[in-house]
Amino acid sequence: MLKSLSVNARIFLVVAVGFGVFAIAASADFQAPNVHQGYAPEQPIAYSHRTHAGELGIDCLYCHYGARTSPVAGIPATGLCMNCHATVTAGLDAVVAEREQAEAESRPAATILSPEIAKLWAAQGLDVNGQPAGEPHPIPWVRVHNLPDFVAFDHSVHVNRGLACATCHGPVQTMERVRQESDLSMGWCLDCHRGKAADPTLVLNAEHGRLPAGEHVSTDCSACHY
Amino acid sequence: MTTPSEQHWFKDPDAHRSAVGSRADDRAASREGHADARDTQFDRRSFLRLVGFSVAAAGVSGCSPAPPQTVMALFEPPVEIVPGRAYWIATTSWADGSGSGVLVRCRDGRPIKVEGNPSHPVNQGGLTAACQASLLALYDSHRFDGPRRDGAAATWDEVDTAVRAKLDEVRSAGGTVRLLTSTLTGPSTLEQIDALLASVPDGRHVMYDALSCSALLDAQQALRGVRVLPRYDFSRAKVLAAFDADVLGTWISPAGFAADRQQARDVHAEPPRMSRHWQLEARLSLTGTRADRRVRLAPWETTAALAELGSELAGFAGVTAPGPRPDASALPQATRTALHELAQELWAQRTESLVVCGTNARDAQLLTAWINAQLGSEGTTFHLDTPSLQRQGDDAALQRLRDELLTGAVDLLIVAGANPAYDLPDFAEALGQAGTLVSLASLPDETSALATIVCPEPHELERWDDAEPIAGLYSTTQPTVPALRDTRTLRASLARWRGDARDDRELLVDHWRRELDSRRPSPRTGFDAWFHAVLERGWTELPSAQPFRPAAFRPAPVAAALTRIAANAGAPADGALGLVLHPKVGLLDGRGAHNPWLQELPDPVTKVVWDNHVDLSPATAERLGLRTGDIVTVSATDDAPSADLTLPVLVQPGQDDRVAAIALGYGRAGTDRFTAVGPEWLQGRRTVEPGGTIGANVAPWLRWRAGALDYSGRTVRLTATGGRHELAITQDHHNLSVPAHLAPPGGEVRDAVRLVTFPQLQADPEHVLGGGHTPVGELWDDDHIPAGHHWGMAIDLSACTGCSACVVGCQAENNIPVVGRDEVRRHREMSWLRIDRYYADQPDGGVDVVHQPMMCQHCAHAPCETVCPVLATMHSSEGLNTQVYNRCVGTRYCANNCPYKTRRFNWFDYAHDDQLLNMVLNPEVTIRSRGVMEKCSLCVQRIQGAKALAGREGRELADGDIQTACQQSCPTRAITFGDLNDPNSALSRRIATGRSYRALEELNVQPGVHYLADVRNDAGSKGGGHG
Amino acid sequence: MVEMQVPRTGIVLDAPGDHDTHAAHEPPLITGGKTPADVTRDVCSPLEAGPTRLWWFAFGAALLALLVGAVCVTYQVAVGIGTWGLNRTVGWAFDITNFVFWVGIGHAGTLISAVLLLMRQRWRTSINRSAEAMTIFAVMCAGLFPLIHMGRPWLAHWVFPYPNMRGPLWVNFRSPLLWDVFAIGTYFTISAVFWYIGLLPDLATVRDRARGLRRRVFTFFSLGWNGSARTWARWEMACLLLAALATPLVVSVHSVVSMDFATAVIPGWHTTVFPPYFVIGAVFSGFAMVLTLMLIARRVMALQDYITPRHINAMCKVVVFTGSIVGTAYAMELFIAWYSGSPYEQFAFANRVFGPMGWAYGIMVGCNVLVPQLLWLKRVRASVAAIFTISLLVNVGMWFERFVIIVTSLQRDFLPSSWTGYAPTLIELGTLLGSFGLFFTCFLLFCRFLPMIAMAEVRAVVAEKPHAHHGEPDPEGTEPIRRDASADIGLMHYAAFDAADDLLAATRAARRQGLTVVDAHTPHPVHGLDKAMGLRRSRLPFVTLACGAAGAALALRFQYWTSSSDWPLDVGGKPFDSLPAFVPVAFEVMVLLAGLGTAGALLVRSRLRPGGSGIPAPEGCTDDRYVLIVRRHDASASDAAIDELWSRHAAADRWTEYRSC
Repeated sequence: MLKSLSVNARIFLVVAVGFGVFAIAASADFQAPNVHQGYAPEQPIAYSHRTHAGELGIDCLYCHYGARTSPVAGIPATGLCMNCHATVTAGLDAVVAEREQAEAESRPAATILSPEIAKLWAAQGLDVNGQPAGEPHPIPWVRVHNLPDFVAFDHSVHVNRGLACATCHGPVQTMERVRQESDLSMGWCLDCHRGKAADPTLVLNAEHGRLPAGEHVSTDCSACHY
Repeated sequence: MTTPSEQHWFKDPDAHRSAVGSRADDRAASREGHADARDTQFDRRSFLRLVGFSVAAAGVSGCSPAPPQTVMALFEPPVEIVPGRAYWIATTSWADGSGSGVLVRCRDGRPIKVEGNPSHPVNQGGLTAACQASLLALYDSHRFDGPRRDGAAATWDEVDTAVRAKLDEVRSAGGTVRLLTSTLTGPSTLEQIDALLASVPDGRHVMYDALSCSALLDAQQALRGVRVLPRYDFSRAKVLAAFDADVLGTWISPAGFAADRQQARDVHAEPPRMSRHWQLEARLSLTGTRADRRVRLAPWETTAALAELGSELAGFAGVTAPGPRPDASALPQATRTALHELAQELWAQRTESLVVCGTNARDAQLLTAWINAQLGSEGTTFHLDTPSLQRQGDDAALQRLRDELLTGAVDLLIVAGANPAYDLPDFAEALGQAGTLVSLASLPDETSALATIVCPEPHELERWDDAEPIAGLYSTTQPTVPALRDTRTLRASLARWRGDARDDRELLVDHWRRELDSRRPSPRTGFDAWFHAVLERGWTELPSAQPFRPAAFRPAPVAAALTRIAANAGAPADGALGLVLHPKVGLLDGRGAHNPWLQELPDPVTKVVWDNHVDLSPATAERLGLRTGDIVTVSATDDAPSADLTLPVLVQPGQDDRVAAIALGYGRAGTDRFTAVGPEWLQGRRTVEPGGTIGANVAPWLRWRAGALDYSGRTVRLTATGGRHELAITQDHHNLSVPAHLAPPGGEVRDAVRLVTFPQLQADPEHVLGGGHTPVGELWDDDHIPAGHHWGMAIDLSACTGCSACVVGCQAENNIPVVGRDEVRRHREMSWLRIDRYYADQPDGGVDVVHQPMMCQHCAHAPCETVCPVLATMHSSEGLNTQVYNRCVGTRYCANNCPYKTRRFNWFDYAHDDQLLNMVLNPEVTIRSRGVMEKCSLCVQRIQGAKALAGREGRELADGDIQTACQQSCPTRAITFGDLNDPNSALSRRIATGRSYRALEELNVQPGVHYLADVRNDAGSKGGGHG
Repeated sequence: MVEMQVPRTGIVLDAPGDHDTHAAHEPPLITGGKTPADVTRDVCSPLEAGPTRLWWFAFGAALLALLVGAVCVTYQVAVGIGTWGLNRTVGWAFDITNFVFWVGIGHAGTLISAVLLLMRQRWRTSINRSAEAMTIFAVMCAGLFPLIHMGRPWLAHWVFPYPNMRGPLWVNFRSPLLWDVFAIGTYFTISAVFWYIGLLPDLATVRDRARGLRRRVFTFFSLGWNGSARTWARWEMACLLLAALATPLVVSVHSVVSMDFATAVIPGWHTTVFPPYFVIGAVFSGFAMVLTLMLIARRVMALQDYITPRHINAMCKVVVFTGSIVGTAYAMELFIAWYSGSPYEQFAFANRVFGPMGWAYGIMVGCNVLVPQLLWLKRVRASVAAIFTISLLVNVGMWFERFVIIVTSLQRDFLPSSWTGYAPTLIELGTLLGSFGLFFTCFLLFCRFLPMIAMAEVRAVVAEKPHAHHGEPDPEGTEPIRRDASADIGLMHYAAFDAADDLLAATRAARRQGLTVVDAHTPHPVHGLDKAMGLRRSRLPFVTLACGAAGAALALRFQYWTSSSDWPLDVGGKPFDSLPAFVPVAFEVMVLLAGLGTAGALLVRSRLRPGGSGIPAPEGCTDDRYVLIVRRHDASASDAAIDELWSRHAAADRWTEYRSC
């Protein structure tokens, strides 16, 4: 097919393709902050948001309580996990199985500790029997949503305006392992701030009633960059 | 952490190359906790581990694939700390020796800003530069980490055993124990001191102040029977005369004094007030720059002048002076005339006038007290029944201690909170004679270098303490962060050496429970609740342990003093100059010398950084053929031997022609740590050479005279060495007028600073500035008027003293880097807020001085905005001129086009290598990388924070919710921030006054920062008197 | 349709009357009695011989300077702008001084090519090639500085408005720096295009003389140039159009550069006289640099016969003329500052003249105003040494002019508290040296590898016999050459002539005999040949017009859209839709698209493409032979008649070929 083209056309084609490749490369390299989109790193503990937020229906703000009052949502302290996991130590079937077995063997049921929760206990300085063993140490969670350091994002401002967590973080309650749902690019932020969000319920301006009167959603640079 | 499958998760290259740097933001949980903090490689991760929480944000720049950022979770949920949310802790700061109340802003378990406590009686919300900068000292990685013995690291057990052994030895052998400290007021500490000293046969506590007021105390002792510092109330002084006292800059309690003085000069009050302020001094002090009349008075003339003044007042009163009227003919005629006028003014306002004297000479202080007694202003402008305890040093006792030391009579000397080897003359040798020297320095210093045992004290932001800066005012100190270093307070150390193993807090609380609780007038709550309330507020008022009952005035010592006055005693011989040694606003006695913020704080008068120098008046410099930067040898012409000094000259207008002035506090050992401050490059010069010091120490030139340290009694001769030293000065041209040979006929004065007189203001407050510039209309419709908030600022030049507290406040708040001496020489200082200081020569050789804080003016028609090609700077809908660091490519066009030259460019990447020091960074402000422009943002982070808070609390933003860092720090409330669109805001009300104008208004850039014209008592009244 | 009054005489052959009047009292432009063949030999032989020792020496020095500059720039980019002597008050100094200086140098090339072309100045032919090359290299040097002066040059692409994920966030079309981006970009592109288009015939000449690798390279770059009369006609039109575009462009570029200062508020910058003052200063400095280079080149490259006293004289006159205007501008500046009544303005100029950098002002006035006045003297204009010295001094003076404007204005502006001084660092000095290194390295390479005199145009000058082409009228009424494919196929009769006049006469005769004139191949554009052949007027102007209109409309629309509807941002309180601010970029984009469109249309229409694939040039017709190709048309003429025609017109050679494509 190429043969049928004149030399000029062929040259044009080569140049155009070259430009195209460059443009794509350049846009990926120079401008797209969304290279993180879809990021779903493996975590030190296979914590399932689907189980906790989805099946158990635990409110996001129960663990990430900072989002209400602070710029940062925060990673829950392990102590918070232990509110439940001091007693909830493994999946129900495993516990029931052990209990039945123990009953059958007429002995007191042993504590069944799932391997993942064992890591939590270890971080608390507890051994599998819940006895103190070693120093408590923090769990090195891998951060999923990373904004550049020159962006000031305040969770509390958004949460207190009634914004749902899922608006930005996506359906976390369905995610076994959390991934970055939105691209978190500046344009993506601005879409909402300009009232042009893909989700029509997110028209965020005073006229549409999502904000107290007298307040406006700012598109000032200084709203986020300072 | 990086697994191959994660390799492709690049950070956005734009993002990290543009990485304007890191927001030192730890978005994670936090909790107070405790752990070891001994890593010298102290990075944020170890800090966070230390306080038991948080994040380790991995590298934010660099082109390699960023490793995944790890977030550390806590063990226990925090109770009081919400990650990322700031909270405040009330405490007390002695960094400037005043015991000011401070509020410490903390985030994620660490303090990030020190601000004045508005409710605190000492400083009333303002805070000096030195106190604000003390935050940086907390994160000083050079601090001692743990006790040392014989120069090597030791354990607390080892040193305690050694000290206890020594004490036992002293007890059994009947030796002497001396405790040498700076002024200590904390009752819980004094209790321990008393207890320890009581346990040994011969124990004594000697207090001294490097900036001594000993003679003042001695005079009160002699005249009134109480050795205390009067508590001055400048707010009541309608006429104030300060002899050689830098009341607004460095003397005793400058922030509080400035606030008080401002009340007496409040032109907004009803009726407007305008006190008269006389300053009689040899060198031009900060206070001198703000006086209505300034009389140049050589040091050896001070007592004669005071005697003349006192005698004059006695004449007015029609009473016989207690002593002979000394012959004042040695005083220049102009001075005598001025003193006569002063006497009349003081007498006219007797009972509401005040004379203070900063000269540390007994006679001068006796005469001052006599003058005040004649004025009858006790109870209004000063108080002796509730005196100030901020200075209690006793130079005579100190001198005795030195003699004891030299004879080898001191077996154990414990030095705490003081550095006698540095700041006292010939004391190093004496210290060497102590049997055992124990130093409680927290940073290696000249004294700790001589010490056998070093038991470092914690920084005041990480310890429990109490204080009584003013009799009956109990001010608390509490930790804002778990101790970063292995340290122990004096109180705890003393207790431990007596065998009391209680911890520090217990000792303090126990003392309060036993001693202070009972003094509560009507306890309605239990001790714990009360104590917590006190801690929360930071201070409380209780009756003093021992009430001060000054006796009636005894004239005899005054009579003696009057007879002692000899004409011109101490005047230099021909060709010699009197030497005036004085503290600078930042470094004071040298305690701030290891603090780069203070080293790089332009002196409010000289604008010099990173150096001390020999100040000479222009006439003297001309006579000696010296220019600024010429290096001279300073040699003594009096009988006291002192090693010659080599220092550069600075020509200082307004100074007495007969003196040379040199700042104390320089030449501290270890200041060669600043070798690495500032960028290193081909033509870059080091801030200090390895092994060198910043400036030269002049403390050895102090002299003991009549039982007091004499700061201005020496005479010297200057010899040019022919060498040059380029001083780093932030301002090159010092006049508002252009150089004469370039000016149009008649001269040209730029009216960036405007002055009105008080009579003018009273006559027509609305139009006091005249018509001003009438706008001629716009070429286009202004369609950008902020509809909601319109942030702006007003700066009252009549209130601004130039004290530079705002400069440090801004630096701390906005993560402004320190750039080093060479960069300042190259005029690349980074401060967003500078204070322009202009001189106007007066016919008699004096100078008129104005200070003008200058920062980004947030112009509505900002010239910087139109020229930026990439939209890195533009206007926000709330009237802010915004600088977006991450968008900036660094053309510097905006800075060129700024008429105010308030934009600052990052010429290099300024060092952020010291991980411990980095913890001082405000997480709410981006750290700028090299190649980007920055400037005052009107503390936009505070605006956004306040808006978020108001939103959380479901209320509207109220006037006063937002205070900028400079505004907050200002002792005289010269700066007002607010909403221009709110007609009732404090800002709008200020701007509505007739004194309001805008700098360079005629350019029609429409600045959002307004100035209120300086108010003078009368035109051209300043600087009278002799030169 | 209105006939456009585009001169049809082409760019070389001026109106004969013009020539006559000059010829009466002026020495010839080209001396030494050169023939077109001589021109080819004289210009090409230096390229074909090995470089001289002098060349190697100069090249080595230039390369060394370039190396120093490269090291300095690398160091500066690696360490920071702090390695320059700038400070918080003086934010620009050497960087923008060098930028404006080099842009100014770059003005002479386009001026000589374009303005003098439009003004029918024949003397430009000998120097325009090197002047254009100089322009391109100077603009390259200039463009370097805005790039490296950025705090973060690796983000320089942010000055281009490209779609992005930041909102998108565009650029500030109100910033003169952005206008610079477009102005300099357009200027460089159009200058390069103009230069390359003009170079094509000469590249073909070199190609046809070369063998081996050089031949292959030149074959690639000469785009199959074959000297066809049709191509020449379009080429002349394209050159004329590009010249017409480049003339306002050259004015706009330095006007825009001057607006970096004129639109600022800084006293000493904020001056409406700057655009014309900068343009004339640029011409002044550009001509001085051309003089410098030409005086060296004619000596080193032995081109005394081509760059003759007449050329030098003419350039001297331009220098003294523009220098005098510059002097007037300096005086006006002072007058206006005084007359303004603004104390800031008055001080700025008092400070400029008598302030701490008064010495720089002295150098500026001395070198730019006083020294060039010597050129009024004929004696001085006759002395190569004097002219060379003066031209060097003017270059120095013009550098200082920019330095004075930038540094003295910045160092002491409104608030005396911020007044500072300025001193350059070694890095800045090295970078300045490096820019000269870059310039001379490029120029020396150019001298070595490309014909530095426009051979085709000079051939036309030497070949022209002023009265000849009026000898016979052009055939009337005959049909123009058809451009359908069949016209080019068949048996072709070739004839080669030694003189353009013979070709012309033969062409006319052939057409009168009813032969189809297929084409002619000539070593230079032959005046009147298009008419003689009955060629239709080129339609390139319509392409130019369409592209230009599209460019302007696009740029305006884009600026309005980004600035006032896509993301209106409050910039200095200016209206979102501020037309005056959008004019510069709209103009530059208009010129850019028009120029590229014109050049593109020429290449496409004339089937010029890398390597070439069209009809090869008959032998010698890129040197000194004129070849005519005719074809018998039905029974118009017998072969014998054609033969007779050739003989009658003194054909040097004749042959036939069957052309099948």
